[in-house]
Amino acid sequence: MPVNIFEPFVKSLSAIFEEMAGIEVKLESTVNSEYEEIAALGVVSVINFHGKIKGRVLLDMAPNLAITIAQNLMSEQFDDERDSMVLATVSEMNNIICGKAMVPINNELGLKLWMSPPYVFTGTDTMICISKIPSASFIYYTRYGKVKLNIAFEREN
Amino acid sequence: MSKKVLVVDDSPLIHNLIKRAVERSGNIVCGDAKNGKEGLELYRKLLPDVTFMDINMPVMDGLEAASKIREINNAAVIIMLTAVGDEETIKKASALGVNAFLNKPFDDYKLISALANI
Repeated sequence: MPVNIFEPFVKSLSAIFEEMAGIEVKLESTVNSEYEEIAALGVVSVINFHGKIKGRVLLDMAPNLAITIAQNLMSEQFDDERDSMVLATVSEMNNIICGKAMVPINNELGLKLWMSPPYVFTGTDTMICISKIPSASFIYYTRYGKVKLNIAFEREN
Repeated sequence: MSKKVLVVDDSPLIHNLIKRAVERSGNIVCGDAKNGKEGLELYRKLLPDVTFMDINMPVMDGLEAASKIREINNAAVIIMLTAVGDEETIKKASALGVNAFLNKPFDDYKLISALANI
């Protein structure tokens, strides 16, 4: 996968975590894989893309991190990552990260990408089965837990 | 005089953030919808002063809903909310004559300013 496809997502994640939630992220590791399964950290949001290429972006974070972000945004206390507002927070965060990344991809590369509304689910160590597209995972450390960004794109048939 | 605001967005988080900011500024959220189709129905029923409209939504997207609202009331005040501010999206929304754009993420100040400037 070319750098100019995944780089906007990586930059966008750091910027949005800081801007929306006031949380600093540090890149811990990067993994390139072709596996069809990913073990979830806790709260997962997926957005699918279509255009001149197709793919998906998966944002996965530790339950405590998801709860902290929701609390920072809403100024309310949440105790359970399954709370609808916590799920909505992770979902919208993925939507905003991907939306920001799409601007340079569409404006500079002319790939005419559009994205589906996000969907979200929870489950620590849940195995997520995904279509076999070569993907890159970026795993970040925050003081509230880990977050993973998994990016996969391929040419439209 | 306070303004009646309709919020159309598929995210409950955005509903809550907008409601909080709108009410703090002395205005009223008169309705909220989770997609363009619901938003259009609520627009007909409530005739709000301002509609905050997300673009990327299931069932009916915000561009189509804004276009249909314009058919009902050509002077409707619509503020588009978007996470995707690429040239083509902005061009499509501008062609509908939307009154303002608010890029996500936004803070209370930007939202209240957009509302006050209408």
